[in-house]
Amino acid sequence: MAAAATSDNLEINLTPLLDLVLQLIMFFMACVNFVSEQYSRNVWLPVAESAQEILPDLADERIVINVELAWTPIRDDRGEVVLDPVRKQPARQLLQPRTYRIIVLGENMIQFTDREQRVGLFQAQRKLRDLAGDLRLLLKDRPYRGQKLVLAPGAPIPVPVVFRVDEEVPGGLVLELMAQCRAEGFGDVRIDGLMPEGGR
Amino acid sequence: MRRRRRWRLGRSESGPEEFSSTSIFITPMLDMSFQILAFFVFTFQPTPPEGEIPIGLTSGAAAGEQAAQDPKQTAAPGLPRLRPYVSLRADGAPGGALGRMEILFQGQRILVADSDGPAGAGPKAIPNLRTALLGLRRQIRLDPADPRSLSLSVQFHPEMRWGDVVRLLDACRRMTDEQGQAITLFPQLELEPFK
Repeated sequence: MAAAATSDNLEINLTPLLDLVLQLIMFFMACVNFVSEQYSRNVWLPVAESAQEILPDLADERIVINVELAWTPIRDDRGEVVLDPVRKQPARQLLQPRTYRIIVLGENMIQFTDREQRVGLFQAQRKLRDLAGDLRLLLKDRPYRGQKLVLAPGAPIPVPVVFRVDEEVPGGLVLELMAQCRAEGFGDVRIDGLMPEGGR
Repeated sequence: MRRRRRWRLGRSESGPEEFSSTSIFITPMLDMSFQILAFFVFTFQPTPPEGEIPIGLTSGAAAGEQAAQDPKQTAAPGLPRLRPYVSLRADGAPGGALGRMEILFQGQRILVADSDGPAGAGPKAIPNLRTALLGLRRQIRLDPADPRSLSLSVQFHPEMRWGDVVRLLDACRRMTDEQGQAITLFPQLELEPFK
Protein backbone atom coordinates (compact mmCIF):
# COMPACT_ATOMS: atom_id res chain seq x y z
CA MET A 1 0.00 0.00 0.00
CA ALA A 2 2.84 2.36 0.81
CA ALA A 3 4.53 1.63 -2.52
CA ALA A 4 1.34 2.30 -4.40
CA ALA A 5 0.96 5.57 -2.62
CA THR A 6 4.34 6.84 -3.72
CA SER A 7 4.17 5.56 -7.31
CA ASP A 8 2.10 8.57 -8.35
CA ASN A 9 4.89 10.94 -7.37
CA LEU A 10 7.46 9.57 -9.80
CA GLU A 11 8.44 12.67 -11.79
CA ILE A 12 11.77 13.64 -13.20
CA ASN A 13 12.99 16.94 -11.97
CA LEU A 14 13.99 18.70 -15.16
CA THR A 15 15.15 21.94 -13.61
CA PRO A 16 18.88 21.05 -13.24
CA LEU A 17 18.90 19.72 -16.80
CA LEU A 18 17.36 22.92 -18.05
CA ASP A 19 19.92 24.96 -16.12
CA LEU A 20 22.74 23.00 -17.68
CA VAL A 21 21.35 23.33 -21.19
CA LEU A 22 20.89 27.06 -20.82
CA GLN A 23 24.45 27.38 -19.57
CA LEU A 24 25.73 25.47 -22.59
CA ILE A 25 23.72 27.69 -24.90
CA MET A 26 25.21 30.76 -23.25
CA PHE A 27 28.71 29.31 -23.69
CA PHE A 28 28.24 28.68 -27.39
CA MET A 29 26.63 32.06 -27.93
CA ALA A 30 29.56 33.76 -26.24
CA CYS A 31 32.09 31.79 -28.28
CA VAL A 32 30.43 32.20 -31.63
CA ASN A 33 32.48 34.23 -34.10
CA PHE A 34 30.46 37.05 -35.52
CA VAL A 35 32.48 37.46 -38.67
CA SER A 36 31.99 40.78 -40.34
CA GLU A 37 30.99 40.80 -43.98
CA GLN A 38 34.27 42.54 -44.70
CA TYR A 39 36.26 39.43 -43.78
CA SER A 40 36.72 36.88 -46.54
CA ARG A 41 37.04 33.28 -45.37
CA ASN A 42 39.02 32.33 -48.48
CA VAL A 43 42.12 34.15 -47.32
CA TRP A 44 44.83 31.96 -45.83
CA LEU A 45 46.40 34.44 -43.47
CA PRO A 46 50.03 34.00 -42.46
CA VAL A 47 50.84 33.40 -38.80
CA ALA A 48 52.13 36.53 -37.09
CA GLU A 49 53.56 35.91 -33.63
CA SER A 50 53.94 39.60 -32.85
CA ALA A 51 50.41 40.53 -33.92
CA GLN A 52 48.46 42.57 -31.40
CA GLU A 53 44.91 41.91 -30.39
CA ILE A 54 42.34 43.94 -32.31
CA LEU A 55 40.50 46.24 -29.95
CA PRO A 56 36.77 45.44 -30.01
CA ASP A 57 35.75 49.07 -30.47
CA LEU A 58 37.99 49.31 -33.51
CA ALA A 59 36.97 46.02 -35.08
CA ASP A 60 34.00 47.51 -36.94
CA GLU A 61 35.63 50.80 -37.83
CA ARG A 62 38.23 49.47 -40.16
CA ILE A 63 38.36 49.39 -43.91
CA VAL A 64 39.31 45.83 -44.73
CA ILE A 65 41.02 44.99 -48.00
CA ASN A 66 41.15 41.26 -48.71
CA VAL A 67 43.70 40.05 -51.23
CA GLU A 68 43.03 36.40 -51.94
CA LEU A 69 43.79 33.70 -54.47
CA ALA A 70 41.13 31.65 -56.21
CA TRP A 71 41.31 27.99 -55.16
CA THR A 72 39.38 24.76 -55.08
CA PRO A 73 39.36 22.26 -52.21
CA ILE A 74 41.31 19.03 -52.69
CA ARG A 75 39.16 15.89 -52.56
CA ASP A 76 40.16 12.29 -51.98
CA ASP A 77 39.09 9.23 -54.00
CA ARG A 78 35.74 9.12 -52.24
CA GLY A 79 35.08 12.73 -53.10
CA GLU A 80 35.48 13.96 -49.55
CA VAL A 81 37.32 17.16 -48.81
CA VAL A 82 40.85 16.61 -47.49
CA LEU A 83 41.77 18.63 -44.41
CA ASP A 84 45.02 20.53 -44.21
CA PRO A 85 46.86 19.02 -41.21
CA VAL A 86 48.35 22.31 -40.04
CA ARG A 87 45.47 24.71 -40.58
CA LYS A 88 42.68 22.24 -39.79
CA GLN A 89 40.68 23.50 -42.75
CA PRO A 90 40.13 22.14 -46.28
CA ALA A 91 43.38 21.67 -48.18
CA ARG A 92 43.41 23.69 -51.36
CA GLN A 93 44.65 23.72 -54.89
CA LEU A 94 45.29 27.10 -56.49
CA LEU A 95 43.62 27.78 -59.82
CA GLN A 96 45.97 28.00 -62.79
CA PRO A 97 46.77 30.53 -64.08
CA ARG A 98 46.87 32.17 -60.67
CA THR A 99 43.80 34.27 -60.15
CA TYR A 100 43.81 37.10 -57.64
CA ARG A 101 40.83 38.75 -56.03
CA ILE A 102 40.92 42.10 -54.30
CA ILE A 103 37.82 42.74 -52.21
CA VAL A 104 37.39 46.16 -50.66
CA LEU A 105 34.83 46.60 -47.85
CA GLY A 106 33.36 43.14 -48.43
CA GLU A 107 32.13 44.01 -51.91
CA ASN A 108 33.57 45.49 -55.09
CA MET A 109 35.52 42.39 -56.06
CA ILE A 110 38.28 42.90 -58.61
CA GLN A 111 39.47 39.67 -60.17
CA PHE A 112 42.48 39.25 -62.42
CA THR A 113 45.09 36.69 -63.41
CA ASP A 114 48.87 36.91 -63.25
CA ARG A 115 49.05 38.35 -66.76
CA GLU A 116 46.41 40.98 -66.05
CA GLN A 117 48.08 42.16 -62.86
CA ARG A 118 48.66 45.73 -64.07
CA VAL A 119 45.02 46.11 -65.12
CA GLY A 120 43.79 44.65 -61.85
CA LEU A 121 46.02 46.93 -59.83
CA PHE A 122 44.83 49.94 -61.78
CA GLN A 123 41.19 49.05 -61.03
CA ALA A 124 41.98 48.56 -57.34
CA GLN A 125 43.81 51.88 -57.17
CA ARG A 126 40.86 53.64 -58.79
CA LYS A 127 38.56 51.99 -56.26
CA LEU A 128 40.71 53.23 -53.39
CA ARG A 129 40.65 56.74 -54.81
CA ASP A 130 36.85 56.70 -54.99
CA LEU A 131 36.66 55.31 -51.47
CA ALA A 132 38.93 58.04 -50.10
CA GLY A 133 36.82 60.70 -51.81
CA ASP A 134 33.59 59.24 -50.41
CA LEU A 135 35.04 59.00 -46.92
CA ARG A 136 36.20 62.59 -46.95
CA LEU A 137 32.70 63.68 -47.86
CA LEU A 138 31.17 61.44 -45.21
CA LEU A 139 33.49 62.48 -42.40
CA LYS A 140 33.05 66.13 -43.25
CA ASP A 141 29.52 66.14 -41.87
CA ARG A 142 29.61 63.49 -39.18
CA PRO A 143 31.65 63.17 -36.00
CA TYR A 144 34.13 60.31 -36.04
CA ARG A 145 34.88 58.53 -32.74
CA GLY A 146 33.19 61.26 -30.77
CA GLN A 147 34.90 64.27 -32.32
CA LYS A 148 34.24 66.43 -35.29
CA LEU A 149 37.07 66.39 -37.76
CA VAL A 150 38.34 69.11 -39.98
CA LEU A 151 39.43 67.28 -43.08
CA ALA A 152 41.33 69.68 -45.23
CA PRO A 153 42.15 68.50 -48.74
CA GLY A 154 45.14 66.20 -48.46
CA ALA A 155 44.84 65.75 -44.69
CA PRO A 156 45.18 62.15 -43.49
CA ILE A 157 41.99 60.13 -43.15
CA PRO A 158 41.84 58.71 -39.59
CA VAL A 159 40.13 55.44 -40.50
CA PRO A 160 42.51 52.46 -40.32
CA VAL A 161 42.98 50.37 -43.44
CA VAL A 162 43.66 46.70 -42.78
CA PHE A 163 45.16 44.32 -45.30
CA ARG A 164 44.15 40.67 -45.06
CA VAL A 165 46.44 39.03 -47.56
CA ASP A 166 46.79 35.39 -48.52
CA GLU A 167 50.22 33.99 -47.67
CA GLU A 168 50.87 33.00 -51.31
CA VAL A 169 50.30 36.45 -52.81
CA PRO A 170 53.50 38.21 -53.96
CA GLY A 171 54.47 40.96 -51.55
CA GLY A 172 55.06 43.51 -54.34
CA LEU A 173 51.36 43.53 -55.16
CA VAL A 174 50.49 44.32 -51.55
CA LEU A 175 53.10 47.05 -51.33
CA GLU A 176 51.66 48.80 -54.40
CA LEU A 177 48.18 48.73 -52.85
CA MET A 178 49.59 50.11 -49.60
CA ALA A 179 51.38 52.87 -51.45
CA GLN A 180 48.10 53.82 -53.12
CA CYS A 181 46.39 53.94 -49.72
CA ARG A 182 49.08 56.25 -48.47
CA ALA A 183 48.81 58.44 -51.57
CA GLU A 184 45.05 58.74 -51.04
CA GLY A 185 45.54 59.93 -47.46
CA PHE A 186 45.07 56.75 -45.41
CA GLY A 187 47.81 57.23 -42.84
CA ASP A 188 47.02 54.22 -40.65
CA VAL A 189 47.82 51.00 -42.49
CA ARG A 190 47.85 47.62 -40.74
CA ILE A 191 48.22 44.01 -41.73
CA ASP A 192 46.30 41.11 -40.26
CA GLY A 193 47.77 37.77 -39.31
CA LEU A 194 46.76 34.73 -37.33
CA MET A 195 47.80 34.89 -33.71
CA PRO A 196 49.43 31.71 -32.43
CA GLU A 197 47.63 29.45 -29.96
CA GLY A 198 47.08 31.24 -26.67
CA GLY A 199 47.78 34.51 -28.47
CA ARG A 200 48.45 37.68 -26.60
CA MET B 1 -4.97 6.83 -0.81
CA ARG B 2 -4.02 10.44 -0.87
CA ARG B 3 -3.88 11.91 -4.34
CA ARG B 4 -1.48 14.62 -5.25
CA ARG B 5 -3.14 17.90 -5.99
CA ARG B 6 -2.49 19.38 -9.43
CA TRP B 7 -1.71 23.05 -9.37
CA ARG B 8 -3.61 25.17 -11.80
CA LEU B 9 -3.60 28.80 -12.74
CA GLY B 10 -6.61 30.86 -11.76
CA ARG B 11 -9.43 30.31 -9.34
CA SER B 12 -10.89 26.90 -8.91
CA GLU B 13 -14.56 26.23 -9.61
CA SER B 14 -14.89 24.13 -6.51
CA GLY B 15 -14.37 26.98 -4.12
CA PRO B 16 -11.81 29.31 -2.59
CA GLU B 17 -10.26 26.54 -0.46
CA GLU B 18 -8.54 25.06 -3.58
CA PHE B 19 -4.94 26.04 -4.22
CA SER B 20 -4.22 28.20 -7.23
CA SER B 21 -1.75 26.50 -9.58
CA THR B 22 1.90 27.64 -9.95
CA SER B 23 3.17 24.82 -12.12
CA ILE B 24 5.14 25.77 -15.24
CA PHE B 25 5.12 23.34 -18.11
CA ILE B 26 8.81 23.32 -19.05
CA THR B 27 8.88 20.55 -21.66
CA PRO B 28 8.44 22.85 -24.71
CA MET B 29 11.06 25.17 -23.30
CA LEU B 30 13.43 22.25 -22.89
CA ASP B 31 12.73 21.10 -26.47
CA MET B 32 13.51 24.53 -27.81
CA SER B 33 16.65 24.78 -25.69
CA PHE B 34 17.91 21.50 -27.10
CA GLN B 35 17.25 22.70 -30.62
CA ILE B 36 19.20 25.89 -30.01
CA LEU B 37 21.98 23.92 -28.35
CA ALA B 38 22.16 21.52 -31.30
CA PHE B 39 22.37 24.47 -33.69
CA PHE B 40 25.30 26.00 -31.84
CA VAL B 41 27.09 22.67 -31.45
CA PHE B 42 26.89 21.91 -35.16
CA THR B 43 27.82 25.39 -36.35
CA PHE B 44 30.64 25.90 -33.85
CA GLN B 45 33.92 26.47 -35.67
CA PRO B 46 36.79 27.45 -33.43
CA THR B 47 39.04 29.63 -35.57
CA PRO B 48 42.31 31.10 -34.38
CA PRO B 49 41.98 34.77 -33.50
CA GLU B 50 43.31 37.42 -35.83
CA GLY B 51 45.72 40.10 -34.75
CA GLU B 52 47.18 43.11 -36.46
CA ILE B 53 50.57 44.64 -37.04
CA PRO B 54 50.76 48.40 -37.64
CA ILE B 55 52.83 49.26 -40.67
CA GLY B 56 54.33 52.50 -41.89
CA LEU B 57 55.30 53.42 -45.41
CA THR B 58 58.53 55.34 -45.71
CA SER B 59 58.81 58.56 -47.58
CA GLY B 60 59.97 57.96 -51.08
CA ALA B 61 58.66 56.74 -54.37
CA ALA B 62 55.94 54.59 -52.84
CA ALA B 63 54.52 57.33 -50.72
CA GLY B 64 55.12 60.14 -53.21
CA GLU B 65 56.86 62.28 -50.61
CA GLN B 66 60.09 64.17 -50.61
CA ALA B 67 63.05 63.07 -48.55
CA ALA B 68 64.29 65.33 -45.80
CA GLN B 69 66.80 67.94 -46.90
CA ASP B 70 68.75 68.00 -43.67
CA PRO B 71 69.76 64.55 -42.37
CA LYS B 72 69.96 65.89 -38.79
CA GLN B 73 66.41 67.17 -38.92
CA THR B 74 64.18 65.47 -36.38
CA ALA B 75 60.74 64.34 -37.40
CA ALA B 76 57.99 66.80 -36.67
CA PRO B 77 54.36 67.08 -37.73
CA GLY B 78 54.12 68.21 -41.30
CA LEU B 79 57.70 67.37 -42.11
CA PRO B 80 58.79 64.31 -44.04
CA ARG B 81 59.73 61.42 -41.83
CA LEU B 82 63.38 60.61 -41.59
CA ARG B 83 64.89 57.29 -42.39
CA PRO B 84 65.32 54.93 -39.44
CA TYR B 85 68.85 54.16 -38.31
CA VAL B 86 68.58 50.52 -39.33
CA SER B 87 67.38 49.10 -42.64
CA LEU B 88 66.86 45.54 -43.74
CA ARG B 89 67.01 44.41 -47.34
CA ALA B 90 65.66 40.96 -48.16
CA ASP B 91 66.14 39.43 -51.56
CA GLY B 92 63.96 36.74 -53.01
CA ALA B 93 64.73 33.14 -53.89
CA PRO B 94 63.18 30.78 -56.46
CA GLY B 95 59.50 30.19 -55.83
CA GLY B 96 59.04 33.48 -53.99
CA ALA B 97 60.90 32.27 -50.91
CA LEU B 98 62.97 34.39 -48.58
CA GLY B 99 66.54 34.87 -49.80
CA ARG B 100 69.68 36.77 -48.93
CA MET B 101 69.22 39.31 -46.14
CA GLU B 102 71.41 42.31 -45.41
CA ILE B 103 71.19 44.77 -42.54
CA LEU B 104 72.26 48.32 -43.35
CA PHE B 105 73.56 50.31 -40.40
CA GLN B 106 75.86 53.33 -40.38
CA GLY B 107 77.03 52.69 -43.92
CA GLN B 108 77.83 49.03 -43.24
CA ARG B 109 76.19 46.03 -44.83
CA ILE B 110 75.85 43.11 -42.45
CA LEU B 111 75.01 39.85 -44.16
CA VAL B 112 72.67 37.64 -42.14
CA ALA B 113 74.27 34.22 -41.75
CA ASP B 114 72.60 31.23 -43.46
CA SER B 115 70.46 33.50 -45.63
CA ASP B 116 72.28 33.26 -48.97
CA GLY B 117 72.01 29.58 -49.79
CA PRO B 118 71.22 28.39 -53.34
CA ALA B 119 67.61 27.60 -52.38
CA GLY B 120 67.14 30.76 -50.35
CA ALA B 121 67.38 31.39 -46.65
CA GLY B 122 68.15 28.41 -44.44
CA PRO B 123 66.34 27.44 -41.25
CA LYS B 124 68.80 29.39 -39.09
CA ALA B 125 68.47 32.62 -41.07
CA ILE B 126 65.56 34.04 -39.06
CA PRO B 127 67.12 33.27 -35.63
CA ASN B 128 70.40 34.77 -36.89
CA LEU B 129 68.53 37.88 -38.05
CA ARG B 130 66.97 38.24 -34.62
CA THR B 131 70.34 37.90 -32.92
CA ALA B 132 71.88 40.51 -35.22
CA LEU B 133 69.00 42.93 -34.61
CA LEU B 134 69.29 42.38 -30.87
CA GLY B 135 72.96 43.40 -31.07
CA LEU B 136 71.96 46.60 -32.86
CA ARG B 137 69.16 47.23 -30.40
CA ARG B 138 71.73 47.23 -27.59
CA GLN B 139 73.69 49.90 -29.44
CA ILE B 140 70.66 52.07 -30.24
CA ARG B 141 68.57 52.65 -27.16
CA LEU B 142 64.82 52.92 -27.62
CA ASP B 143 64.10 56.64 -27.38
CA PRO B 144 60.47 57.71 -27.79
CA ALA B 145 61.68 61.23 -28.61
CA ASP B 146 63.66 59.93 -31.55
CA PRO B 147 61.41 58.08 -34.02
CA ARG B 148 64.45 56.86 -35.92
CA SER B 149 65.44 54.65 -32.98
CA LEU B 150 62.04 52.94 -32.86
CA SER B 151 61.68 52.10 -36.52
CA LEU B 152 63.19 49.64 -38.91
CA SER B 153 62.97 50.14 -42.64
CA VAL B 154 62.32 46.95 -44.55
CA GLN B 155 62.79 46.32 -48.25
CA PHE B 156 61.71 43.00 -49.71
CA HIS B 157 61.74 41.57 -53.22
CA PRO B 158 58.38 42.13 -54.97
CA GLU B 159 58.09 38.44 -55.88
CA MET B 160 58.50 37.28 -52.29
CA ARG B 161 55.51 35.41 -50.86
CA TRP B 162 53.46 37.44 -48.40
CA GLY B 163 53.80 34.64 -45.84
CA ASP B 164 57.58 35.08 -45.87
CA VAL B 165 57.23 38.87 -45.70
CA VAL B 166 55.14 38.57 -42.55
CA ARG B 167 57.63 36.06 -41.10
CA LEU B 168 60.35 38.62 -41.74
CA LEU B 169 58.38 41.47 -40.17
CA ASP B 170 57.60 39.28 -37.19
CA ALA B 171 61.29 38.59 -36.66
CA CYS B 172 62.06 42.31 -36.71
CA ARG B 173 59.48 43.31 -34.13
CA ARG B 174 59.94 40.97 -31.23
CA MET B 175 61.94 38.01 -29.99
CA THR B 176 62.01 35.73 -27.00
CA ASP B 177 65.21 35.13 -25.06
CA GLU B 178 66.35 31.90 -23.40
CA GLN B 179 64.39 32.68 -20.25
CA GLY B 180 61.20 33.08 -22.26
CA GLN B 181 61.13 36.86 -21.81
CA ALA B 182 59.79 38.89 -24.74
CA ILE B 183 62.21 41.51 -26.05
CA THR B 184 61.01 44.34 -28.26
CA LEU B 185 63.39 44.86 -31.15
CA PHE B 186 61.81 47.47 -33.41
CA PRO B 187 58.18 48.27 -32.54
CA GLN B 188 57.55 50.24 -35.73
CA LEU B 189 58.17 48.86 -39.17
CA GLU B 190 58.29 50.84 -42.36
CA LEU B 191 57.99 49.21 -45.74
CA GLU B 192 60.05 50.58 -48.57
CA PRO B 193 60.12 49.76 -52.29
CA PHE B 194 62.80 47.30 -53.28
CA LYS B 195 65.86 48.89 -54.86
